[in-house]
Amino acid sequence: MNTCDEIQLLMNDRIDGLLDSESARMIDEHLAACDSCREELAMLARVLEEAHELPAGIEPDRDLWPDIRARIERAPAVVPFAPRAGHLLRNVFALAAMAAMVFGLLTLRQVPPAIAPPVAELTEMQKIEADYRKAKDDLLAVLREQQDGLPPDTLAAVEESLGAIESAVHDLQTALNTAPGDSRLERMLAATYRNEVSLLEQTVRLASEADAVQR
Amino acid sequence: MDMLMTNATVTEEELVDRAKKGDVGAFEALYRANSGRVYGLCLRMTGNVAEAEDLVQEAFVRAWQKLNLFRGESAFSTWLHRLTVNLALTNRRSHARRVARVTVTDDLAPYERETAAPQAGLRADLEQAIASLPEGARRVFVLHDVEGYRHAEIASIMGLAVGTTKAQLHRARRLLREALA
Ligand SMILES: [Zn+2]
Repeated sequence: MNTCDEIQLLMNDRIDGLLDSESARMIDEHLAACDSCREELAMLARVLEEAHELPAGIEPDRDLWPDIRARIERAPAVVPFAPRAGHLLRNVFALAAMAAMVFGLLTLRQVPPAIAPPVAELTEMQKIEADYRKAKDDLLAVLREQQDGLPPDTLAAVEESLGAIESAVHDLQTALNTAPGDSRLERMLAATYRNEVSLLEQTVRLASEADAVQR
Repeated sequence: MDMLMTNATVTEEELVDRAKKGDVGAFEALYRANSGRVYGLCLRMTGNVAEAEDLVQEAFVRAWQKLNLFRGESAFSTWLHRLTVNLALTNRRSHARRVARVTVTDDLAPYERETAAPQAGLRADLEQAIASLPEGARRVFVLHDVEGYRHAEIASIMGLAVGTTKAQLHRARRLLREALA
């Protein structure tokens, strides 16, 4: 014979309709014979009925929208990228092999951001992403004007590295799409962005030094 | 904005589309339509006004940021509800907040407002009793008995075994019976 404690444990499943018919009948037999359990059941039913009837909505005491609006409208903090000045506006029309290849590669492999933002406020990750895109664009703009100097083998090595980095970026963004906000993935993606920017910076430095020597 | 809110012909779907394109006014209309539902959920899940307000703001900011991931397979309100539940369950500030809290008086104000309605005495008592439950029991009770989630869903969201959520529900219901007896 079951104790009242055991019955009351099963009473939850009974009232939720989760018991098979035999167990249900066993509970009901006990209830028919036990005043105290019957009283518990009545009280439980009353609590649950009241819980089901609670209003779904409760209006907040104060309007929370202004704070939300402020947060989603906050301007992204983009760290301006300052390229080394000097050679910037010289070979505006001369798009030679290296820059064309690098640029074409990056354009082709351009991956949409994990969370394409129409958003005004950016997450930490989106800020990093915005900084990265800005830095990349600036570096590519500089490269487009200083492409002359680089030897073909350097060019090939740079292209290959950029390809590997872009493919890692793509994989990480795909993973982040299925696990948004995963901090480990975000850290890896941020590190990958830094690698790419750093490679582009080195390439720009090389190109600009070669450019300077040639003149 | 005003036009959006008063124009009944603007559907939720259209508002979502506009918000996806960066229309903050459309998103405000979505906030107005859903704030009570989201706040009610957050207040019951946390049992604390300040935490609930933080959670509501966080939920809508996240919803805005993730709006492009919403594909319209469910209603926006359903998607938002689920997002809020997930947020509430991973909310780690709750413990510190509760420790810092010196009085519960303020927290009960929104429930007391409802005492104007007939038969609301028990309702206010129930809200208060839910707010006083231990965190785990409260979360499971709110999701199961107020929001209508099933054990399997709750267990999956919370990363628990069904046996654990059942035990928490049993505990919550027993404590509520005692509180309201
Ligand atoms: Zn009994």
